[in-house]
Amino acid sequence: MTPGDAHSAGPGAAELWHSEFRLRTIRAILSSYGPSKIGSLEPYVKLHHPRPRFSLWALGLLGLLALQAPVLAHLGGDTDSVSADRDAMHAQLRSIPMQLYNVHEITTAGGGVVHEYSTRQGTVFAVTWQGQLPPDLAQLFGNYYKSYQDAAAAHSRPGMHRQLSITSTDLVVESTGRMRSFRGKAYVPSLVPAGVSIADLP
Amino acid sequence: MSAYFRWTVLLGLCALAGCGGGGGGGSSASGSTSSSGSSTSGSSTSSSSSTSSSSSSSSSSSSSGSSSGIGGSSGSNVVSVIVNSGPPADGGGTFNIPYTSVTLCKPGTTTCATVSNVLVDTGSYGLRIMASALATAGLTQTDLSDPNNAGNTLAECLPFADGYTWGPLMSLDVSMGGELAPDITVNIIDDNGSFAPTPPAVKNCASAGAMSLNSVSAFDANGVLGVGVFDQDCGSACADCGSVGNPCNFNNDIYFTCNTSNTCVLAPVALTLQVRNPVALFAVDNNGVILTLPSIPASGQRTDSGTLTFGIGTAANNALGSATVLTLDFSGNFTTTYKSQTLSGSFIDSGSNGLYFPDSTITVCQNTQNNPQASDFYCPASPQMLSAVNQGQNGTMSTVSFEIMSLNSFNGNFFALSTVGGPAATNPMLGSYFDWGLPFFYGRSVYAAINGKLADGTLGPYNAY
Repeated sequence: MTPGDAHSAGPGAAELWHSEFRLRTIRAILSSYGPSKIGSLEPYVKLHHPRPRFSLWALGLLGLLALQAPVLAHLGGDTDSVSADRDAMHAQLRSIPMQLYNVHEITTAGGGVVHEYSTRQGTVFAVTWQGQLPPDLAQLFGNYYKSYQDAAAAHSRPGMHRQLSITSTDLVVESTGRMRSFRGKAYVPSLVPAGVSIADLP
Repeated sequence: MSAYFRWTVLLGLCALAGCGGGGGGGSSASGSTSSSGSSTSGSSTSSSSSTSSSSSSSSSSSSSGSSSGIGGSSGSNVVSVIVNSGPPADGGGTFNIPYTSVTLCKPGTTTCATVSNVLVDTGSYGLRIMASALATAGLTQTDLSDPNNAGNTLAECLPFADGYTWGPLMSLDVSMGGELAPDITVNIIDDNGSFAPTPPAVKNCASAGAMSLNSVSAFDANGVLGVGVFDQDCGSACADCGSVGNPCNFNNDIYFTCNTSNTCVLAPVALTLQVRNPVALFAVDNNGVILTLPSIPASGQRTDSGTLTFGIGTAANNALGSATVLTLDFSGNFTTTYKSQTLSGSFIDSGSNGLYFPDSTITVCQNTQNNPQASDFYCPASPQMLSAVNQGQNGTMSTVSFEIMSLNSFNGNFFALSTVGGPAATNPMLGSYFDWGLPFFYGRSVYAAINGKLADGTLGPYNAY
């Protein structure tokens, strides 16, 4: 284990860090979704950079910037953003063309998996996840995250925190799991291509 | 009127009426669900709950359950567990939540306090206490220092399927009955805003799970005692991140280091300093637990009193006996086969208040204005007698019979229900599950053996019953 990311350093270190920050931010969001070793269609993109020194203060500032990171692949987004993720995520992803849609699979070093499903026109209509920890759902849900939050608030209840089921006209979410084992799926019914059964997605 | 609605209403009414603590109860013995070979039943619960408390211990945070002695006698490896209406603080009560008491002391001192109404959870790992309950019990909060960053303290953002908790870590001597886990990391859930850092860490934390569960009412408990099959709540991922090529992020870390300006960032935390299952740190009875609840009528019961026994095969009262052992995968799961469905992510979990499993043939309750969450439960027209087969990693198979009754059929004043269930998501893409929640425990002794520990001849992680 290293002594953490929070070395003490003089102010200004953050400046040097900015140029790389966006990449790091994006990685931080989905980063351990590393390359899938099997059937990869893209080369493994490895980012090389010196380990910067920066203060906690700087990190905090950067944390604020992180909230303004560019929109990545997410429900309702386009597939260009999926490719952008590939470069940014210190990882590669596997894209599989199916008859009626495409599957983009991102696998973490720790075994976590995210699938994003896009229409032939390039719109992400469904996502699934599985791993020891849940992925950044704000990232994955994009503009649908707010309705997810609102619905979750209405459905959460004492006695059961191992699953959450949301069915609304614009978003369906099944989230399950407990420590060390999370999984779920979400899709936007209006975006699902004709002829595609959510239950049959690979 | 729907039973669930009754409980929901109770939230309001009890605030005024007090809802007299769920006492009484006791154990009626008529078996309703079939159980397979449950052996051991830790019996020697005793009454004295005298814990040295120099500061004013538990006042309003305790005592909904006017039950006998929660907390075993000195030297005992057994503590009492009760299923009842839970903490009066949130004025309500959710069915099927098992509670116990935990005594917390400043490490190495006799400055102690007892927190009652702590949820006994075999589906999580580590002890979490609401900051408000800690304060009410009279113990001062001291945040745990981060050894890697001088002046910083450690905090945790813990994801759940429906939300997250956020709060600092604290080192405490944790004792239950005659057992002591000295100087271990406990997660203090910041339900009273006493822990300052919020942005941006908490916003990021929220990304993982939609909404804050930082409240007594979110859990209907003053804390959660995670005594499941793992030692740490996170494990090596949270200890190993933070190196070149493996930055700490939301996919591999849940711990934060916070500076004096209340800025918090993800950071690695060594295994020994992570939030730990207290049982793993006991001197002797440290390889697992047995949660035992007497059987109750199929129609339920107001309360049910049982025991939590520490250790498996370490004393005369905790032998495995003829229990069926299901070894678990690295996530703590086994496989359940139910009506031709192979549910590979199945688990036994006292922290779930029903049996949750996929069955499209059983009628789901209708949501109503008064009960917008009724569809989380099954409402069959008549009781359903069902069965499933559990299979461990070790190949051992076990048939379990169970019954599901309509949520609407239960007495709204009953907190112990052995026949309540609801649908679970089926996810062919990622695997489906049968969540054997608290109804499974009535009439059984359920064992949870900790990962990597030999428990009466079999290596954990395993469940047995």
